[in-house]
Amino acid sequence: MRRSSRCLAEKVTTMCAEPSAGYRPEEEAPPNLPSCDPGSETKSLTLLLAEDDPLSREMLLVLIAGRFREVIVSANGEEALRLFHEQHPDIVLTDQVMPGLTGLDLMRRIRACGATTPVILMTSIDQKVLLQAINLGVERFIPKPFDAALLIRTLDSVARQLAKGRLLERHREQEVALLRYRDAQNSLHLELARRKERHMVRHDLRHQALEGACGMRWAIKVAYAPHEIMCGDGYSVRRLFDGRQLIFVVDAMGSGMSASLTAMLTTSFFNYQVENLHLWGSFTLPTFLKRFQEYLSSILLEDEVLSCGFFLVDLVREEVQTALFGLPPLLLRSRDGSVLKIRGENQPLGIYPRAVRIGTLFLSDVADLLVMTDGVSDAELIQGGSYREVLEDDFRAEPTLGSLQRRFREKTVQHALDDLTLLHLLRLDLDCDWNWAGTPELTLAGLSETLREFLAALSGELALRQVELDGIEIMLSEALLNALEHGCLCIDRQEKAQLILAGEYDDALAGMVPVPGAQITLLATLWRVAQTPLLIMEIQDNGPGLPQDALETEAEATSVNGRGLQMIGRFCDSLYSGGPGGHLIILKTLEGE
Amino acid sequence: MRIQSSGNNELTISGNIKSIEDSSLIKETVTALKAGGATSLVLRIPDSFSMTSTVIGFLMKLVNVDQMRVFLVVGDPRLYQLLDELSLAQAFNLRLVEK
Repeated sequence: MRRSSRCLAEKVTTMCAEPSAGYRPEEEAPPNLPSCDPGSETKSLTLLLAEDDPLSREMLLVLIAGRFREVIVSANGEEALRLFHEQHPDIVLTDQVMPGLTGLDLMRRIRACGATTPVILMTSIDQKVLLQAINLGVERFIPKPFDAALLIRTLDSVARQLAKGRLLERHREQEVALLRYRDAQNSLHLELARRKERHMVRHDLRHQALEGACGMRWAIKVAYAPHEIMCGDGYSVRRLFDGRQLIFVVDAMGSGMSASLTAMLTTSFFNYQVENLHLWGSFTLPTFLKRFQEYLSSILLEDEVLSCGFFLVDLVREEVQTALFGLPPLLLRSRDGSVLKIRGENQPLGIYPRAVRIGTLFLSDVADLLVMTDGVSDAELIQGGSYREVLEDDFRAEPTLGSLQRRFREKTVQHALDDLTLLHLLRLDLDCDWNWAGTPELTLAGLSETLREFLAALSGELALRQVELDGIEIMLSEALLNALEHGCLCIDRQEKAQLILAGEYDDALAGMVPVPGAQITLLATLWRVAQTPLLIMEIQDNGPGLPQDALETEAEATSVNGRGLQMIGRFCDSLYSGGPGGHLIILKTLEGE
Repeated sequence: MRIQSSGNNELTISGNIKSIEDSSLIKETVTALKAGGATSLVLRIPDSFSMTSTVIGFLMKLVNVDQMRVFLVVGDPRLYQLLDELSLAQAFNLRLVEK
């Protein structure tokens, strides 16, 4: 049995709008009966009415007419239960005493299936029934015989509560959706910011061996580890038009967005100036710094300062001009292993111009130089204190940035780290007490033979763990094979891919004749001035050399070749390319047994 | 490095895959299995912490060109990480198991 709200609403409307002569709804209605205008809360709801007595049922229907979107009517408990499962009403209004299922039974069955639908029980005052109903979570009672006003108030109240609950739930869902949206937006913005940051920090010489005086080679390596995406550190390593290098390392005051803005603005200005240096009549570091200070005074707040360092590197003259503003002391190792701490010449930069002192470091006796931001020196040690207490010892022990970073990670509290930037200028031609050279026959067997000889010689010189030897063998297998394929047989990447895909690679490699004059040289040296020995391996061929981007790019996931350099990169501390021809320089610190 | 064959499509590679000869031996052994009619390959690598780029390229060719299903079961997390970082976990049906 079902009464649609439209049908009932019509009845009520008739009663209210077109009263019969002398009919006054206000007078007819019981004194406390609320207005027959249906409450907005109930209008969107469905009510299940369970009442076995036809008269009471009709009276109830008249009373609640138009208040609900729909009223589902049942004449007994069983029917009510069935309709409940079929129609999923919002509220149940049930009589207690009915044949078959009582109101309490109905409620029990509703609760048994986990439904929390509000149930209003119409019953005479019977303590036992009331108690059971309360235990079943009854919403309200309507005493019988019922009071019409009370009934309407109760229905409105329950409907209001229900509507509020639903509204709250909707708001909660909307909030969750909004938070998810904002989270996604923030992630997107952060990712875009990260890309921008990566675009602004530059390293023109990331994997390049740089030639200095008397053919001495150097390399510049940077470890840049932002703690946050928008970080207060920045750097730029640029090759100048005259062959020198100009380096900028910056650590903006504070953290978060403000520090990041300053770091990126200054890095960006530095890059812009460098790119236009060729337009200057004559370039000097003081002039460059004067312009930088002018720019800085326009972007810094009154209470902001900037720690940074400028390094004009002239490897041919073996000197570095430095302008240091509040950076932690530089660490400089001489070729004999002694370490010198070099303090900055200037206070951090602010908006007020100050005279700038520029220092000069002479490199003729220098093995390497370490520059860092205070995120490194101030990092918290696991055993307490700051990393600056052990930094000098670690630097003395470790010859590469990679091995120094490993020590740093072992000793510091990783979750408490600030932004970190480390820059390492390292001489590649060091005074070594062990050298090895080999020229393999240009076949796979020849390469293997040379590699075996080298590993035997190295093992004879230094006691190494098998895992270290295996790592070296993996790197050199890749490097020697690269030199054979690309340098001696002149197979380029694309051709190699085609041969592999056609299943002809091995036969081709065995059948091809090296170009006239082709040769591979494997050179290795051991530098043992630092506590940890450094193995420098050079693989040279006289082919066309590595493509410029070879050390920067990763192979496509589906590609069948192009992963050799990536594999070497996994096992070494640093990897540089020299020239002319194919020339790979691999640095690997050795822990030994 | 040693290779042990079991069944017509399963190989177990013991030790580290590190040298040019290792790469050649793996390629030859797998090629022989393929010639024997194997349409899938189960490669168990319990020890190695790495894999040469030559072997990776060869397996890529098996999967993408020869339509061979490759199942790589590795025992060293470093090798798992390497292949995962190279985005090859799915292509090689990569699984890490305890040694």
